[in-house]
Amino acid sequence: MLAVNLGGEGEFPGVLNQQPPWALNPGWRSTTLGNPGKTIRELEAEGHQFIIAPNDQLPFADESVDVVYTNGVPIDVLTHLGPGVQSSEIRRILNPGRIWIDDRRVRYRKP
Amino acid sequence: MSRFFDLFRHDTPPPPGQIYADDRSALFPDVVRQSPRLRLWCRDEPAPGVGRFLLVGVATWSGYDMKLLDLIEQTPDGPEVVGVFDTAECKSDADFEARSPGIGTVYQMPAVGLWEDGKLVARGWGHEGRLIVFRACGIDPDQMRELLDPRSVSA
Repeated sequence: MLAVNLGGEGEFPGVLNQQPPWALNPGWRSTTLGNPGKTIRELEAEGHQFIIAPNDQLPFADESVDVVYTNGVPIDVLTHLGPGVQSSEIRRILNPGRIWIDDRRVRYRKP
Repeated sequence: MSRFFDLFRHDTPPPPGQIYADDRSALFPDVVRQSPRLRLWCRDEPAPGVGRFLLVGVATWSGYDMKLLDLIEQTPDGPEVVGVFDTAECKSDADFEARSPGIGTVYQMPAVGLWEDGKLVARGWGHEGRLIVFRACGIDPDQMRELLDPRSVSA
C-alpha cells in the first residue's frame, strides 16, 4: 500500500513525503508542530522519506496511490513560490476506492 | 472563541467535476472585522510610531495559523496593536518585504514582524515567526500543539 503526504514534513510515520523543489533551498525549514526548524536533509536523517517533485507534476503513475494526505498546505492556488498542491493530481494518482485525507478529514474518495 | 479556527474548518462544496474548492481567503476580512483585538493591515500601512506593534501574515489554509490568531485574540497581554494580513495577497518576495523589511524569502507561514516605537525589532517566518508571536504575546506553545495532531482523522 502506497501512502503519500503531499507537502509533508514527516507528520505521519512510514508515509512518503513529497515537497516541491524550493524545499531544497538553503533557507527552507519545516514548521510542523513537534518537529519544526529542520531542513529536508535533517528530516531525512531522522528517518523520514522524501520525494522532491513539482506540485503540478507528481512522479506517480495514474491510479497508483492508496492514500493521499495533505496537512496545512495550499491547494489549487498559485503561491509566491509556485503552484500549490493540485487536486487534479490527487485525483489522477489515487487508486479507485481510495481516499484523500486533508487536514484530518476525508476530503475525497475516488469512485 | 475560535472564529479563525472555525474559518479554517469552513467547507466549500466543490463545483461539479471538481474535488476541491476554497473560499476562506474571501471570507477572511469579514472574520477579522469581527475581532476586537486584530486589525486588517494594508500592504504599505506604516507601523505605529509609539508602543509595540505585531504584524502577522497568515494563510487561511493553515490550521496552525488560524489557531495562532485565536490564541492572540484570547491573550490580554502583548502588543498594543496587532495587525494581520492574508498571505494570499503576497505574489512575490517584495510583497512580504513591504510588510516586514528584511524578512527574505518566506517559505512557510506565518510571516511576522514586531515593532517597538516604530522600530522593527524582530521578524521571521514559519517556526521562527511563531516563536516571535509566542514571546510577544506570552502564549504557551502547548496551547497549539494539543489541538493540531494531524494523525487523528474524521470522516
